[in-house]
Parts: sequence; C-alpha cells; structure tokens
Amino acid sequence: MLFNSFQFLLFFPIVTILYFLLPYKLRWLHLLVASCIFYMAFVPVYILILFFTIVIDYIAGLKIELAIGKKRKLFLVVSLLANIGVLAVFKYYNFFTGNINNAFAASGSDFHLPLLSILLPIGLSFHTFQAMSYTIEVYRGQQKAERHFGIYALYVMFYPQLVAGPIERPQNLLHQFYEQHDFNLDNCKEGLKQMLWGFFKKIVIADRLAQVVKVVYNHPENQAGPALAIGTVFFAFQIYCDFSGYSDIAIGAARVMGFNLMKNFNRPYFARSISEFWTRWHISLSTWFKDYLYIPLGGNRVSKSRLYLNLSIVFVVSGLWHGANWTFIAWGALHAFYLIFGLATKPARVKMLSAIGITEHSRIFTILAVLSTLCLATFAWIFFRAASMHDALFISTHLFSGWGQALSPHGLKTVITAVGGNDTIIGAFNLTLGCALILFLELAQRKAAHIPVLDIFNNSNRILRWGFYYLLIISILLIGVYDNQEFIYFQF
Amino acid sequence: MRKELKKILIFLSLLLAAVWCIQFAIDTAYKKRVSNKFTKVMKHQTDAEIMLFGSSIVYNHFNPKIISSITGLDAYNMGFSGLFFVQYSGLIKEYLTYQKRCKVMVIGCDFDNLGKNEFMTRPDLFLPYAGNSNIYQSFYEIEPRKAFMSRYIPGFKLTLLNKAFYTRIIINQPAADTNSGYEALTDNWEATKKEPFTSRYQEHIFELLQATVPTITAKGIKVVFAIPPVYTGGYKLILNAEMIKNKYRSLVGKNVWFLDYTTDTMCANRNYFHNFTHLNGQGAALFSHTFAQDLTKIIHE
Repeated sequence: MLFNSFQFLLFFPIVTILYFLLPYKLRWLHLLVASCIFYMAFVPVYILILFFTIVIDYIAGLKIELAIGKKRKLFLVVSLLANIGVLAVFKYYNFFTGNINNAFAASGSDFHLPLLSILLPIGLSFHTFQAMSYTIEVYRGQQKAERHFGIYALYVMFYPQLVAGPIERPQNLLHQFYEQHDFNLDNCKEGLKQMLWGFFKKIVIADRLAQVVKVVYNHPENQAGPALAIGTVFFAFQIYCDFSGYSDIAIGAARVMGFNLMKNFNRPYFARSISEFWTRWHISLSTWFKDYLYIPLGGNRVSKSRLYLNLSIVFVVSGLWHGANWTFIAWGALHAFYLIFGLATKPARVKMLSAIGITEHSRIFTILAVLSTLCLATFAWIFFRAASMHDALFISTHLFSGWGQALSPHGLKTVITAVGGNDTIIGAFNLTLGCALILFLELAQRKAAHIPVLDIFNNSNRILRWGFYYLLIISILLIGVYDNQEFIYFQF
Repeated sequence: MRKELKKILIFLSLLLAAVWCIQFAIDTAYKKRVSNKFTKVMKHQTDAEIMLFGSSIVYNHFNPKIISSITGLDAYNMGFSGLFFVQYSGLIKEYLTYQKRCKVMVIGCDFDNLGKNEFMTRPDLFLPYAGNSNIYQSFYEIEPRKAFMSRYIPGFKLTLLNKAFYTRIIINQPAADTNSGYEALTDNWEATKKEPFTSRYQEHIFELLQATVPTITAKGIKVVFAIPPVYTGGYKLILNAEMIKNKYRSLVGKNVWFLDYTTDTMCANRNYFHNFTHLNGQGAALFSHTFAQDLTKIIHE
C-alpha cells in the first residue's frame, strides 16, 4: 500500500483508532495483521519470503542466546546467509548472471546461465537489514533474544517502516511493543504534523520535480547541457523529498500511536562535507553500515591505505544495496572517491584556506563548503538516476555543453520546451513551480535548523501557524501530483 | 481536552470552508472558459430543431448549415471527439430536461460508440459539473470511484487538475462557435490502423442506449441513428461491424430510424477521407448533403 494512496487515507485512521480502542494485550496482534494487510497490498505472495526470514531469524536469535562458543557464530552465520541468500536470489541473481553471460558472450562462448523472471519484493533490502541487525545485536549480547514470536514478527513488519525504513535497531523498537501507549494528544498532533510535511514533500515537491526529471532522464541523448543540468538538480531534490517524505510519514504515523522511530534525515543538503552528508542522509542505513561493516573492518583506527580500502568497500556495498546495477555501484564508488580525496587533501586545503584568510568557522567557508558538497552530491546522483552507465556517462560529459545557446531567448524557449516533453506551457509551469518549491524547501529548512519544519511558527500567533498548515494542505490538493507514483526507495 | 477538541473542530471547519471556496472558484472560472458547446447545454441555452449528438464522427461529419438549408430546420452539432454514448448520454438527458424545439435527435454511431474507455475522455468538460446528476451518472458509469469522490469529498476534484484544466483556466479562451458546433477535418490523409480489430462493445451500454430511446421519443422527438461513411479499406478491418450494425437495427421502431452509410459509393473514394473512419471537409460536405436529403424524408414521414 502506498502512503500517497486513497487506501492509506482509510487504512491509517482505522488502524490507529482500533489500536487505541483494543485492549493492550491484543494490540500487537492488531498491528501485525495491519502490517500484513499493508504489505500484501503490493504482491501478496511475497509475504511468504518475509515469513521465511522472520522464522529463521527468530529461531537463530534464540539459538544464539542459548549457545556458547563457536556455535553462536554458526547460528549467526546461518541467519546472515539466509537473509543475504534471499537478497542474492531476488535482487542480485539476474545482475550477476547477466554479467557472467555477457562476459562469456564477449569471449565468444555459447555458455548461458538462465535468468529468473521474478519481481523484486517491495522493500526487501530494508526489512532484511533490519532483521540482520537483530541477530547481530543478539550475537553481540546487546539485545536479548525475543521470546514472543508475534512481537518479533512485528519488529520486522511494523507497517510504517516496513518497506522503506527507517531501518530500526532492536534496542530502539522491540521494547516499545511491550509498552502501553495511551492516546496522547501531543503525540497525535506532532505525528500528524510530521506526516503532513512528509506528504507535502512527496506529493507536491518530489512528484512535481519528477515530471521534469522523467523527461530529461528517459531520453538524455535528446537533451542539451542546460536541460541535463536542470534534470539533475531537480533529481537531487526529488530523491531527497521522496525519501525523507516517506520517512516523515512513517515516523509521524508511528508517533501518532506512541512509537518513536529513529530520525532518518537531518537537512543533508546543508552538510559542509561529504562525510557530514553521510551523517545526515539516510541515517539509519549509514549507521547500519558503520556499525556492522565499517567498524568490523577496522573503521578508521587502521593505516591510511586500509582506511581508504574500508571506505571503498562500505560505499561500493552501499551502492549495491541500493540496486543491482553498475550505476549504483558507480554512485557508491564515487562517494568513496569523494571521501578518500577529501581526507587525503584536507591538510593542504586547510593550509590553502588559512593562507587566504578563511577559517573553518567563517561564514564564507560554510557557504562555499555547503555549495560544493551540494554540487558533489548532485553530480553523483546522475549515476543513481541514469538508466544505464551509458546514459550516466553521456549526461556527466554533456552537462556543460550548449549553455551559450541557452542564454538567447530562442535557446531558453528550446530548453523549456525540452524539459516539458515538447510542451512549452508544461515545461514553463513545471520549471517555475519546481524552482519555487526548492526555494521554499530550503528556506523552510534553514529556518527550522533544530526543530521540525512545521514548528517554525510555533511561537507566532494562531493565524500564522494555522495559515502555514492550510497552505501545505491546500498545496497538496491543488498542485500535488496524483498519478500514484511509487516512492523511489520502494525498489530497494 | 474539550478545549482541544473545539480547536480541532474549528481548524477542520475552516479548512473545509477554504477548500470549498477554492473548488467553487475553480469550477466557476472553468465553466466560463470551457467549450462553449458544452457550457451552453449545461446552462440550458442550446436548443435546435435538429440536434446531433456523438463523437468526432458527428463533430467532423455533420455540417449543420448544409443540413438546415436542405431540411429547412435549424440544426446544431453537439459532437465531441473521443466521447462515446456512455459519456454523452448525460448530456442528452440534461438537454431533454429543458428542450422545447427539438424535432429530430440524430445519434451518430461510430463502431466504438457502444463501448467505453477505461478513463473518462475530456474530464475537463465533465468534472466541473460532477454535481449535476445527469453528468454524474455518465461519469459514474466510466470511473465510479473518481465520480463518487468528486461529488461527495470536498477537495477531491482539486487533485484531478491537470494540464487541460490549468491551461484553460489560465490561458485559453473558448473558441468562437461559428459553425453551430461543427468543424471540418483537413484533406491530409492520415491512416492509422492496419491490422483487423474488434471494436469495443458492451452489452450493458447497448441496454443503456435501449433505455434512453423511449425517453427521447416520449417527448415527441424522432430518433435517427446514423453510421457515417467508413473508408472501404478501413471498414473491412472491423471484425464485428455487422454485429454492431444489427444492434442499432434492432432499435428501429416507431419514431426510430437507422441510416447506414457504410455502403455508400463515397466509401470507396479515398479523396473524401481524412483517415479510415473520418471524412475530410470535402467528404463531410458531400455526406451532409446526402444525409440531409434522407433526413428530410424522415421529417416528412
């Protein structure tokens, strides 16, 4: 079920009201059934895959806790293999097989491995990683194995974060299912406000920007540099609003019922470096990789060359986590390169800046650092969004061509028409609205540095506060895009 | 708690009022700028002795000026491209509520007329009138969920605004209606389908048409079903053409006629056609002439 669907508009209040009406003992069952319904709205049969990993990890958790010595590791390995195995079959089999087949074909061999014709289960990477974090934490002794099968199943399947995170840790979520959440008006208000902001980001900003991005990225070879640049910048904000919008709706929906999910985004485009960007973007995934891959590899307490290798491994795996395609691997590798280059050149850069009188705490440094980080992250998104490596390379090499022509009135009209899919009115409409929405987003987020965006008028009078809520709701109705667009991160 | 509840109620009431006002403003602006033909019927302003309803095969084929000059009765073309009977039946019903002069109602029958699209054609014409029960019924036949929500859930219609709405509200002015609703197609030949195909047909839409006929004749109006010429090369591709024609034939009775022009000699001459199923301006003039002569006989029967 999509959050931005009519079904969810009915599903959410019904599930929430029933949750508070039901006796405490039955609430876990109610949430589990609701989560099953939520998941089965996509491809019902795939719930069996989820059930398979839940059973394996539930048993593995209990066995790890009871076992001693090498057996603990054995049960952990079994659990990890089961989870990674599911990912390997459903997400990566065709990618690796396709590449092997291509390699054989290039060498003139007739050898051909069969490909599977299966749909990728929605949110597979999210709930698999969440399940893995449970067995790893039990193995590390940081979390007691869950005895209640239903509660454990709910930990993996809790509907707000089932298909696109945040990827929760058992220490944060499991105990909450045992707590008695009475209806709390403040929780309800805060949750609904966060959901409203999430819906606005998804339906109004992300899906509007997607109208331009789709046109540009579907046939990049037909576009000149300015259109490619517009499409790429729009995509940077589209993916942010799409994914952080989902997270806001998920966190808000859970909050209404009294659950606290972890923060997943913290104004990433205000980061002053790529390493800071990764502490602000998809926080639940980046901390997952830090805790379960980067630190076990040695983290940063190793030699420089080993540190660079660790970073490369983590980011290539992160790229692969996003999708079975060379474009995602290239995106991850590019981020690894940014980080390694940043670390290697940091002393020289600091020296150079202090020579011209710019300190790390000055305003000009912050502005330059934020802008350059935004540019680097945006450039990397080309590889994330492009349909193939060929397209990604075409876009990245043609990004700066054709700007001279675009500055003339005729050239400008050509660009507007191109991003509108050969329709000047649509192009102008989407471009103007898209730019205005990005500006609005950035201003609102700048104002709300340490508070939720919807609280920026909390200290103002009611007219201003309510006016802001009305503006968002009416914008959702009036300029939202309603073609049931899926959230980008569902595919992962 | 009571204070909070009161606040929530006020918040929601104000929101509903704001949404209602915006919806009303858009509907009003839209009704003023949308197609003259459609708005005029909804405002009960169009009335003629010969009213022609149908899709593009009416809009582009039946020239009211030629028909009037031969029959001596004034005619008006209410054809809209892409609209099949299930959708324009609401418009016919609305017209019947106020008409005073109509003597003959011509229903143009293309071979998809008794089928329906998955989505409503030209929602921009129909949505502002979702509150009208006749329009609502035809909308409901095609997209029941959307129709229901448009009518009963405040603000839902706002989520359906698309390019057609925006451009009409902001930019377009309605075109002048100088040809009594008729517009000719160009002489350029644009053939599309090449493979044999089965035209859309749904029995319950035929039953809807069957039920509509008596409501028209009850008002003393003669009903004429007419299939305009189809280019021979295209006609033979329609696999269920005879079955559909027989359905129309079965409706013939007192005050109901069926005219079939698919065997007319002009069907073999490509010079009269814009594509397989549409006549060009020259063909439409010739056809309107022939049709008007046949209609004159019916009028005097």
